[in-house]
Amino acid sequence: MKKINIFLILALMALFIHISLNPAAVEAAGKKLNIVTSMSLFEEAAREIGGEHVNVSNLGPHDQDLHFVLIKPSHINLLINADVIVHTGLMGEPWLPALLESASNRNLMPGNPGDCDTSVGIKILEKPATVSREMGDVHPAGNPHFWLDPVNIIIIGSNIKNKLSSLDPAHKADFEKNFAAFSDKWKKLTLGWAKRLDAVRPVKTIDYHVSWSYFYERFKIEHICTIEPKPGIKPSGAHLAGVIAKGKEQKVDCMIAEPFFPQKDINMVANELKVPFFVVQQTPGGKLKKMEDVFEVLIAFLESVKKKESK
Amino acid sequence: MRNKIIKFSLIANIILAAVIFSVPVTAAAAENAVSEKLVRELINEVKELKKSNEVLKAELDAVKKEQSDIQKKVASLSLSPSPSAGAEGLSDLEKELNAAAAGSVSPGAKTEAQNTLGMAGATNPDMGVVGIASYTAAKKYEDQGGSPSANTFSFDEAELNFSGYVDPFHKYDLVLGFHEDEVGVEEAYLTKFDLPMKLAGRLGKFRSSMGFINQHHVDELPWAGEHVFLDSFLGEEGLVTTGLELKKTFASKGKWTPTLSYELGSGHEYDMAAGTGTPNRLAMHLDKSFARDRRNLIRLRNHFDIGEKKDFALGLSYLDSDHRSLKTYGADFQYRYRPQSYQGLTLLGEFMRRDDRAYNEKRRVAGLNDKSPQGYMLNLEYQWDPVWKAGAVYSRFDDPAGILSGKCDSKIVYIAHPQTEFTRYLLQYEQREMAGLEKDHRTTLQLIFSTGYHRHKLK
Repeated sequence: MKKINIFLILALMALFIHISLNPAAVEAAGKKLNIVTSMSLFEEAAREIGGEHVNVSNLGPHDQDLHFVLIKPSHINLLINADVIVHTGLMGEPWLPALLESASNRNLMPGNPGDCDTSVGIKILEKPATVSREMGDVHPAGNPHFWLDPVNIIIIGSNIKNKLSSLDPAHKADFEKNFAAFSDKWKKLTLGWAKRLDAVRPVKTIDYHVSWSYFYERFKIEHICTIEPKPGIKPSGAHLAGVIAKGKEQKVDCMIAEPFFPQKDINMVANELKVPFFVVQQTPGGKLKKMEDVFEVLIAFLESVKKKESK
Repeated sequence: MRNKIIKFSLIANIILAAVIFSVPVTAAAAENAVSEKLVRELINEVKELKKSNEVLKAELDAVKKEQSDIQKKVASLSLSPSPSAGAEGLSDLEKELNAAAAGSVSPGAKTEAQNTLGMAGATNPDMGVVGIASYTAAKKYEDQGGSPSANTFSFDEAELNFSGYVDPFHKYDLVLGFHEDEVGVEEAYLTKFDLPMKLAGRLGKFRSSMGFINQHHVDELPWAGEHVFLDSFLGEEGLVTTGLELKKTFASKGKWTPTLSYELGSGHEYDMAAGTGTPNRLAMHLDKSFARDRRNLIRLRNHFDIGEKKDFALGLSYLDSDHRSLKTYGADFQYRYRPQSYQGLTLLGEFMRRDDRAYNEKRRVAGLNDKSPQGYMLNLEYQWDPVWKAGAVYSRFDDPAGILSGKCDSKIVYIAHPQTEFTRYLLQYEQREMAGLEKDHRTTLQLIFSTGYHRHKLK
């Protein structure tokens, strides 16, 4: 009798939840490909390439460090019915495996059809030959901030296009067409930015975390050092003094950092060096709605730094 | 070259035509009969030349248009030389952009086979080590059995974790615990991913889903040491089940996410009702009256998003043990507010109550207090810096029947310094008050370290 009671309670609870959630509405929405992305740039690319054939949801908001996104059960909610999970593929999202396991959606597991690794085809920077935590919170698979090189954004788009085409071959032509427009836009933007940055070089920067390596590499910006002594390690007073000394010696032009890093240390170093300091996000969101806006404000800042210096 | 030929033929035709039409026609027609014939032939020839001229002109226009289109395209791609990089630099960039758009993979780029989501290696398991060491100083300490000694250093626990995919359908987790004299399997289970209706399944030995805190290992809790409330209900090591668990998270379009889980199994659970009734904590630790019982557990946890930065979760648990007809009810909640990645406020609460009808009936017959034991805890934590946070915990356990310790409460304040994601220093002060005993004050300095594969847990 007791067993019957337990199973009765369980069945009634499941039934109540099932009815109250109106699964018909969820299924109706599922006619399009359901894409879940780990960050807002992937969301932007998936929307532009998928067009009207996809529903896109994003897990990592622009104002949170991709590495420390506050994960919530509502994220599982999105992953349960997802057809594709778009991610960096370089363990840049250490919170994602726990969510995928909880969602129990086998289709999204590594190597399965719904797994879209955007780093395929990208030349990965700073891949350590050996990995040790003595090196700080280093990423064993290499620096995962590859989207900060706009050329890589085209490769990201290409990976998304290929994934969508394989899952929804009926709309392959549309995905190809949308991708052509996407890549044309990024080609023109990138060439324009390269030309503008040619005019302002040499530029020497200090930043907080090793996030901008791909941007520096692409546009030949000279990176002097980071405020973090090692990835994920908060700087000590002695380290900050070293950063200031190095900045003065190298005649650093400016500093950049993301809004989610502690601003106190960055401000202090910038004041000591008497250089402008710019807070810039890594992904689109808020006032900078598109990824091109993120690059645009950063490049405009670098131009303004050089203009001031030349006066 | 082609243009020159066309221009030359045009001029030649015009001159020729002018010559032809300027030839004077004299009265001596007969004399000029041959000439007339020649003129007609020449006129026809000119007409032919004019026709071919028009064709060539049309071809020239087409070529010019083509040339102009190419020039426009070149201009749109901004290929004009720049002061420092020069045309060569931009041309290389353009090549890279075109290659990226064409999907051609450059040498040294990451390949499909190197997908690394969630896996440290293709076949090797993800491994990790967790260690907990502490120093405890007690202002006034009385031996209460099993508690750490006062004013001593101790290595409380070490854990060795293994995790990996068995095949596309299964993943395993193994947690080995090393205490002073013993080594034990704390958890060893298989997670199955291909169950129908997207059910998540676990089979093996795992921490039971009874409440929120019980699901976490000691190193994952914000404070240090024992917990008067949970220890009393679930034992010092927490409630561990050997059996199976089925879990279903229901997809919804709204902001709430319910998860329903069912657990069937057996395990060591502290049987509080089998104790001697001595009203002190010593009895609880010395009287290891554990029962290997079969149990059913149902848990419903609903999670609500309150905007992007806040969320709230409410959980209800019901544990039914065959042994002595024990029933445990639990409720828990968690509120989180995180305006920044490194800044936030967390409020956590948990309540439990246990009914043992048979035992209560005996006590009632004997004229003793037959009220069921119950307890609760509250934890408030604030993090203001990536490496600093502080909090307070209040927990209370009421045992009106005096089966264990009668009544006890604990007040904790702590400050934690997670220097990195992998080490945490904690300084904690606790005041514990138990029925029949003097107040116990203790200060603990704890170090927790973890190494190995880096993944975050869902909390």
